[in-house]
Amino acid sequence: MEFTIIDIIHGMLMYAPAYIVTKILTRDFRSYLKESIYLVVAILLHTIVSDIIPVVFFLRIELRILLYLVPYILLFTYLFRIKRYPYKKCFIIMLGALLITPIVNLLLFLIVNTISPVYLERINNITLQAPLYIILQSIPFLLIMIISSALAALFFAKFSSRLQERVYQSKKAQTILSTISVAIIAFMAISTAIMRYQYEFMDFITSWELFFAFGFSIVVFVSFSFYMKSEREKTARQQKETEQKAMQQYTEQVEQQQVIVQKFKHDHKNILLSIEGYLETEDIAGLKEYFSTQIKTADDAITQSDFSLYRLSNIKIPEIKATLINKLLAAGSAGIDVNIEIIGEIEHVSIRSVSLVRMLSIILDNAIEALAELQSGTLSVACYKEEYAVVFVVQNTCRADLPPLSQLKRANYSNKGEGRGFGLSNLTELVSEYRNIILHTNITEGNFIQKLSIGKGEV
Amino acid sequence: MLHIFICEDDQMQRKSIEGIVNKVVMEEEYDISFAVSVDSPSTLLDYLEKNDVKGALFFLDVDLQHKMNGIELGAKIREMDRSAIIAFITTHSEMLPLVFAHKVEALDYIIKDDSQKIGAGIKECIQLAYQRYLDRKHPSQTKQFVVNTGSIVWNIPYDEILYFETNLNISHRLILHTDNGEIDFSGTLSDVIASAPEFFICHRSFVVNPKKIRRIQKAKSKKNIELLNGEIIPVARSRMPELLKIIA
Repeated sequence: MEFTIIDIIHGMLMYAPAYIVTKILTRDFRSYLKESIYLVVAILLHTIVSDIIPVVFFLRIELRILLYLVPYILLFTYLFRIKRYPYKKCFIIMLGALLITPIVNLLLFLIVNTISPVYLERINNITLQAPLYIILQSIPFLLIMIISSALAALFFAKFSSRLQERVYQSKKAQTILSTISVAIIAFMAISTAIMRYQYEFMDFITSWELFFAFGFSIVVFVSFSFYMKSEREKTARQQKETEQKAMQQYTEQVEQQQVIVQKFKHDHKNILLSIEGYLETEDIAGLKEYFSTQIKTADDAITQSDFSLYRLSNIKIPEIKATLINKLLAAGSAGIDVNIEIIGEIEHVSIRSVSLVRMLSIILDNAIEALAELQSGTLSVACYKEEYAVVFVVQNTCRADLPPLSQLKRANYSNKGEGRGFGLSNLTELVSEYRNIILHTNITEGNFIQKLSIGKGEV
Repeated sequence: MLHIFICEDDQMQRKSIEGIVNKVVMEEEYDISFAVSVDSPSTLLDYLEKNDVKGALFFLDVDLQHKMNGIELGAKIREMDRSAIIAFITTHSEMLPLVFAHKVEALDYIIKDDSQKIGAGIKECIQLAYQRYLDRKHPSQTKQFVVNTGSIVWNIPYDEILYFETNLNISHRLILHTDNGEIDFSGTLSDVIASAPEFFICHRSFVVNPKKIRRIQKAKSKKNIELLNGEIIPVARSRMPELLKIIA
């Protein structure tokens, strides 16, 4: 058996499109040593599994078909183990990569077939035992394939970035897409395997199967966009409802406070009249007595009742306002002291408000959860404008013996629970989509503080 | 000499604050000059523009009966002088602790509702400010690292920085670790090294502040740096010789 360095290079070129497509789809263009090693090992493994094992062990054709699943398993392992993506995201990226590469390949085969069928015939029947010059001849074709796959992937990534974000936000969509991707992988694996072993590749291209493959992907795509549209409408409707509910609660709370203010106004009049009386009779001792017993206590009562809720009226973005009302009223009814500091009118932030709602929800949920565990403490929320930024600060009392942040994060990552760590890593991911956001997390003097600065500029 | 400024619109309250400040300065025999006590932000800003006063202590009322409130005034002063020391004097209902601390980087705030505590609060502020003033007289040359995203600019003193880390899953995003927190921002490690050559790139995803290294762990299989706070970060084998040279 000949097994030369050329074969390995050839294998690499065969693998490169998938690798490049994956790189582009994950939007991660740096290369890591770990990845390179994995790539080389994967190529060797695949070459050995698909070309050597069947020959050596005289496997039956039906069993050989299964061997064509190997590259997909390798891709999945790569995403899941090395990139550490959640498994559904792995399936979705695989789907992207798997839709792009074969479609580009097919188109390329079609084009080359019309230009030079002989060339295609020659490189199509390539095996590891083929003479060196044929293998060399196929290299330009593979290079073109790499370039066109990369271009297609770039296109795909550019046009689907909004869609991708939506998908990562919806668990249902993730489940559906990953199921579809498994189905397509199975379909493609089986059909390519059959195709190869029947040596009827040219027939396949011209046959109905090609149309079937295209038709299938189009149907999947169209039905998925319809599904996403209805999902979007549903979330919009739900959002509206929660917004209305929050506003209603808010109004009730503010009205209650209004009653206290009215009462104080009334008292205030009486107090002034009493003071006037003391002054008229020049009864300074009586005034002193009256001041310390009556006025001070009335003032303390006012100070103690919570009056900061009205400051939310400074926020002019309905979704953000509703989120804050929701979370802060929930915190208040859970017995947490809430302090709201919003100065200046906040009419605009330079990121999508959907993203900001999610970020604030994660930060506030974490804070409320921590305070509920602690069973005491204060939740403070501040929002203000700077010259070139809008800043949100959320501060909660935390355990005095809280370990350093890095340790905290590590512990939660390894737990992999749906708890705080999960939220924090989601937050990191959300924040990273915007160049104009700085997230500052700090633990000082028994307070856990998260500060989100959103710069003006890009949307 | 440390300068003290007061901005308070209510004459009674202003006189009372002036009195307390004078008393503290006399008692403690500090090298302090009572520069200006005014009732309007514009007068204060005019004065600051005409006179070059750096690192002064400001006592600002929040509600000034003026189109500019105390917080905006504080932010303006901070803009003019990064080393200014600002304290707010506020009623309970105008109290905004987070905004004071984050927008204006105020030293402290004093609640004037409780007349007994005003004196103690002002005294404490003056003591703290005087300590800072003394420290500044012998500057330890604290360099600042600048986080710049185009619209937001933040300064972090070098001696608070432990290390920078790339986020493995997300490209072009860095995490700056400080003694008690972290800052997540857009950037690359090569930018960091370019703007701050004092730091050392010890691994493809880590840049460390050499001053924060406690020791180097040289196990056979893995080489690590232990930082002053006990955190451990990896070192690339190829970076080892240079690292040893730097901390030697």
